Formats: sequence, structure tokens, C-alpha cells
Amino acid sequence: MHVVDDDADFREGMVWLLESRGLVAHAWTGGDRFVQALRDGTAATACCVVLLDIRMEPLSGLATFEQLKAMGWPWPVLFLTGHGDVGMAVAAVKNGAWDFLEKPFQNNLLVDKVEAARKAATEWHQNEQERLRLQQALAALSSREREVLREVLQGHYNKNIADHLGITPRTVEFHRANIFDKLQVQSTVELAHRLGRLGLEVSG
Amino acid sequence: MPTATPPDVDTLDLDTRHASALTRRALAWLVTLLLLVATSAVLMVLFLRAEEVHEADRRRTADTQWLDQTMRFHLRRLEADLGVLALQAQGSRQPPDAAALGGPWWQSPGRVAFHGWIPAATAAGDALPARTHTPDGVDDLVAMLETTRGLQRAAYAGPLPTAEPGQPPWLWLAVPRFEQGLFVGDYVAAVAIDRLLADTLPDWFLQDHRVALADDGAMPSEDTFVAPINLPGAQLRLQVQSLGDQAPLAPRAFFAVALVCLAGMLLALARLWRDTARRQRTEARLQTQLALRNAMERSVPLGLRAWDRDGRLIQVNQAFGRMVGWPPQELLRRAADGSGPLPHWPAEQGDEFECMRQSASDPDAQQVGREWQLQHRDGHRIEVLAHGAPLLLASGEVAGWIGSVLDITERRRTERLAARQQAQLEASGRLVAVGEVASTLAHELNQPLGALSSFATGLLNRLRDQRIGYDEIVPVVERIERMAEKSGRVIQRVNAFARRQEMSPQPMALAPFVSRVASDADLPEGVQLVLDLPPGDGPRVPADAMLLEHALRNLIVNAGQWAPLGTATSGLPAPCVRVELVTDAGQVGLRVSDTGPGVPADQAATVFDAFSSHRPGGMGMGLAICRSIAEAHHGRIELSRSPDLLGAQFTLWLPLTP
Repeated sequence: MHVVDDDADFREGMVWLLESRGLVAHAWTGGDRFVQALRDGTAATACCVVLLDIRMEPLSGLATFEQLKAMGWPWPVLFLTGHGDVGMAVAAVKNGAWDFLEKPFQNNLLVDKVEAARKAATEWHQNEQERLRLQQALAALSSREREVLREVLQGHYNKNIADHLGITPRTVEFHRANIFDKLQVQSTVELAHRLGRLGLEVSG
Repeated sequence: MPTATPPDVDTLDLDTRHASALTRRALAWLVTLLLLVATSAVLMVLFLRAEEVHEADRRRTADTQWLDQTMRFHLRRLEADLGVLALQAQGSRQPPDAAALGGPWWQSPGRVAFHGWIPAATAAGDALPARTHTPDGVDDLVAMLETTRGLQRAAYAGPLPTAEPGQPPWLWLAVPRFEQGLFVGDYVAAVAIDRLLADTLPDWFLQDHRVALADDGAMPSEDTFVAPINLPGAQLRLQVQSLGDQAPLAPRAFFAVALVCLAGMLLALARLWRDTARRQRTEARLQTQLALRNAMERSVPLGLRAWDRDGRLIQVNQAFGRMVGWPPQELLRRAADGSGPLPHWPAEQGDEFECMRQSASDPDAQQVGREWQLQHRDGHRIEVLAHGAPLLLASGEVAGWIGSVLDITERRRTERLAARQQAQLEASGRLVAVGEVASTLAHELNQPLGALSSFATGLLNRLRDQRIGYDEIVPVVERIERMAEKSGRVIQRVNAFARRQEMSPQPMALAPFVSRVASDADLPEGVQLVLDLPPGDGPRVPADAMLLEHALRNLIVNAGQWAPLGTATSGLPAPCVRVELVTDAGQVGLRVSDTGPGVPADQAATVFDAFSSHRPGGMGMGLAICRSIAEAHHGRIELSRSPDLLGAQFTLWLPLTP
């Protein structure tokens, strides 16, 4: 967790709160320092949620968010807003921020939200990695294997696939085994489910 | 002494063109008449002159004839005497006694200068003494004697000069004497001409005339004429000169008087002419002035009216007619009929003429004018600024009144609009300011409160999990305490800022105050304001005028906004807001009631809370502020339902002795 706020009491209170729920939090006194630390690599870049106060000096929350986006920051950013800043926060959410929290807030609710965000982000991150892996595996298939895979995903039997492609059913079985091995799946059903969940298609 | 006839203040209908044409025609007639009179005068002079000459001629002829006859009469008498003397002389040698004859010729000696008998056959020159004649005259004498003999009648000769120089000439006369047809002689007499004239002519004639023997060379003149007296054998030419002016005086006098009159008339005419010219110039200037005034009157958008002393409308200009939608003639006709108030004057404002006269008599109102309402023909009200002034004659007498009205409806509307916009602007400015204050306050409080809350929750979480030791708790709680103090300081700062303006109560009279505030309050169109205030100053209470005005205005404006919403159901004729002063034991109340729907029972408890407006767009501060102000004056504000207007009734009670 990264907490970025220019008010010492608030910042430390927030860290104290998060830690009371077992979350590891780092406090930053300003957006500029946080961004600088990310660039230097001194800040942890593993899956972590950023809490940004929207009203800060000299670099405001929004400006910090812009810089994070420019750096390709993949993790959720939550804004903390005071009275009258809600419009800005909504705009930030539309611009890609995860959520915003209006002060004064229910503290444990905040932690819940942070945890939910963290969990969602982690899941998303895992999906991304799986998808990347599957994509790479799909790319490694030969053209004949891809043809067979398409027929398989359309639900045809090996015999029909053999007729369609003009090869023997035995050859089809051989390809199918190779495909399952390369894509690290056990069945046609599991393959179809994973492709559908990750939104991938068999190209070419 | 009051003047019986009121001054004429009716409109002057000055048709100067017609009037001057009339004057010119009259003058032309007058000039013609005068020319006629002058011509007649000249003709009269000529006629008189001719008449006088004719009269003189006539008198001259009469005088001549009279002279002739008189002379002849006397000389015939002398002839007769000479005939007697001739008879006597024929008979004796002695000269006849002429004196014995008697008669005028012989009464005094010398009248007959010479007489004597000349017997026939005696030469005249021998018979007559030499002194009696000049040698040149002998022939005439001889001719005379021969004539007597030839014609057997008396004959005359002369006048012939005598031998003695310096003597007047003599007129000779011879009377023949025949004896049985035979001539025996002549009796000759001579009369000095001057004696002849002096003796024969009567005195009355000689007083006026001088008669002398005419000179041959004498020129006949105006007053001189020659009267010839024909005698047998001689012609006596007498020159008669009139003595003194004998022209008739009376006609001349009459004529002179007529001339004087004529001259006087001419003079009068000349003056009249000059006067008329001056009057025409004045009329022309008056006409120009009138045209100027008319043009000015037409060009101004001011409605003008005039009344006579009795309050009768006598003049209305076009601008006024346009203002109220009635033709001026129609208004004047109605005013003349006297059939009730005029249609443009709303009856509730009292008598129009009295209002105008009061405003004209009041110097303040003359300066700034009075504001009234007029009723247009189509029913809508017109707000006007009216001025009045008495119509003073040169004598200082008031002949009538003039009133002018200026339509300020548009101005009022603009002013109201501007005031409303200003109020809205101020309200939104206040709203922005309040929002800014609230935002800043929220941020200022959010930081410490949020941190405090975080620490507290974090602490609570650890305590629940029993993951914290006593040593760790103390610094966190200390920190929580510090942050609570910090929040408290923020609140203290806000309070200090809010209390910076202290109220300053001053004793003030409520009735004029309420009247002024209520009249100034901005009510929506169509909402009527009813004031029910005690006469005079009413009760006096110590109050901060600015704050109390703010509270009262808030109540009135609030009532005005609700008033139109209730009349549809309550059955009252028009939405209205009533403001009254009520007194109770030891306190006085400013009561504002309206015809609105009233406050529902479930909202009555919260109506004075801040940010609790039940009106769309309301901020919900007005009544809260009213309550704060009432409480600051040690009073209170009370909400009930108006028994007659059926809407809400707010009463701001103030203690009479704080």
C-alpha cells in the first residue's frame, strides 16, 4: 500500500489504520516524492493500491495520477476527497482511477474498499499473466494444429475433423494431444472455458 | 370684496388670422369712409366758395340797382324843383327863391352848388359864371342845353370839373321851359359830386360802403365794383367799395368746426391705424408664442391637465390622453357632465383634485413630486410622478391649478427589476461566500477529524485483535487528544469570526419603521400589501435597526413568496400579505400573515432550522436568521396559522423592557 498525503496526522493515521488490519503501508509526504521513488526503483512496485489525497501541494493528486498513468502504473489508484472536490474525483474515476473515498469516511469501510481493490487488482493481474501465457502458447501452435483446434472448439468429432481436413482420425488425435500438452489443459471443455474467460480467440 | 366673476381660464382660441383680416377690412372701410368725407369737405369748400361769389354778385347787382334808383329818385326830385324854379325865373328878373321851395335839396345851402336861369338864345358860356366850369366843359354844357331843347325834357352833363382846382367835379342838370310850345330857356343846376353822394345816400349804406366817382383807370377788385347810373345825357360811374368783411360767418364757422372734426377723425384714424399695426404685431408674436407653446406641449411626454378654481377639469393635453387611453375631449366632456369621478383615476386614492392641490401646496411635493397611480382604459395601472402648481394671476389670485404627470411605470419596473437582480446577485454572492466558507471549514475540520478517526479506528482494530500493548496505546491516545484540540481550535476561530459584528440596540419607534420596511420590501407582482399599524410612532423598543429590518424583511418576502400559492384553495379574492403591530403583556409583536397554504404541521418544528427550506431554490437560512435576530433582542419568533388569511402567521415578539 502507498499512502500519499501532505498532512502528517492524516497520513500517519491512515498508515496506523491500515496496519491495524494487517496491510503493509508506506507513507509518502507528496506526489512528487512518490513518483520520484518509483522512478528510482526504491518503492515497491508489486501489487499495491495507491491512496492519493486529491488536494496536495505542490503536486496535486490529479497531477500525480497523470504521471502514474504516463509511467504505465498498472495498480488501482483511490482518491481521497474533501468537501467540494467530488466533481474532480468523479472526473478522475472516468479517467481511469479505481474509485474515490469522500472524507469523512467510515474507516473500516475504507480498509474494506482498499482490500477489495487490492484483491481485484491481484485477480486481474493473475488473469493478465495467464492470458499472456495462453496467448504465447497459442502463438507457438503450428498451422495444422490451429486448424484442428478450431474444429475441436466448434465441437466436431475427430472423425468429422478428419473428413474436413482430409487427414486420418488418428492424425487428428495426435494433433489434439499435442495441443492439450502445449496449452497445458486437460480437456476440450477446460480449454474452451479458459479461452472464453480471457476473451481470446484462435486466429489465423 | 370677492370678485363676482371668476377669471376666465378657458383655453384661448386665438384665430389671429381671422381677427387681423377682420381688422384690415374694418380699416379699409374706415379709410374709404374718410376719403368720402374728405372729398365731401373739398366739394363743400368749392360749393361754399361759389355760393359766396354768387351771393356777392347778387348783392352787387342789388346795390347797383338800388344806387341807380336812389340817385334817379333824388335827381328827379331836383328836376321837379328846377321846373318850378324855371317857371319862377321866367316870370321875373329876380333869381327865384329856391329856399322857399323846401325839400331835401334846399334845406341846407350848398347842396346844390350852382343854379341859374339861362334864357333861350343865350350862350351857355356867357350865361354861366366862369368859376363854374372849365373851357373844355362848355361843349358838354352846350350839348346838354341843346338836348333839353331838342328833346323837350331834362338833360344832364358831367361830371365836369370846375374852374377852381381841388374842387370835386360837378354834375350838371338842365330843365327846359316851354311856353306854349316855344322854348324859353333852361334852368340849370350843378351839384358837387361828393355832396350829391353824401346827401342822397343814406347813412346805413355809407357805413358799409365807400362811394366815389369811378376813375377810368381804376381796376375792379374783389370788394370794389362800379355802379353805372344812366342819366339822360350823362353817365355817372360810381365806384363802390365794400367796407369790412361781410362774408357770412355762420357757414364758415360750421365748416371750420366740421374741418376740425375731420382733422380729429384723421388723427384718431392714424392712431387707430398705428395701434392696429401694433396689435397685429403683438398678435403675430402671440401666435408664434402660442405655436411654440403648443409645439412644446405636444413634444413632451408629460401629461398636463388644468383645473379651474372649483376643481373643474378644463384642459387635458394629448400626452395625458395617450397615457390613460382616453381622448382628452372625452375626459373633458365627462368632467363637464360632472358624472362622478373620471375613469382614469382609481377611486381609492381619494379625490383627484384634492390630491393635486395638496401636492401643489406642499413645497416638498413640489420639489420631488408625488407618486400616484392612474388607470388605463384597458384596466392596467400606470405609476406616475405628479407635480402640481397653482395658476397665479398677476394680482396673486389663484385662477386654477396645473398638474403634470410623468409616466414612471417603466422606470419603476426597471428599478424593481434592477433591485431584484441586485438582490439575487447579492443572494448568490452570499451563497457563494457561504459555500466557500463551508468548503474551507469542511476541509479544515476534515483533516484533523479524519486523522483522529483513523487513529481511533486503528487503535480499536488492534484492541479487538488484542495485538497491542499498553505502551503503544498511550502515545496514540495522546495523539488523538491533540487532534481533538486542533479541531476545537478551528471551531473557536469560526466562532470568533462570526461574532465580530456586535449588535447595537437603539430605542426606535416601531410603526414608522414597520411601514418603511414593509413598503420597501420586494413583493411579487399581484401580491397586495396590507398595513395595520397604530397611528403615530407606536410602541418604542430598543433594537438594532439593521438586524430587525433584516428579520422583518425576511418574514415579509417569505410571506410574499408563499401568498399567491394559497388563494386558489382558500377562496380569498387576491393574494395579500398583512403586516401589523400587536401588543401583549410587556411585549410587542411584529406580525406578518399571508394568504399562502400555511406551514404543514409536520414541518412546523423544523421550519426555523438552518438549511431546511421547503421552497424550491430556497437556502433555508431566512427563518433561521430571523430566529437568531429575535433571540439576540431577547425576543422570540412564533409561528401559527392566520385565522382570517388562512396562511402562515409569523409573530416576532420583542420585550418592551429588555
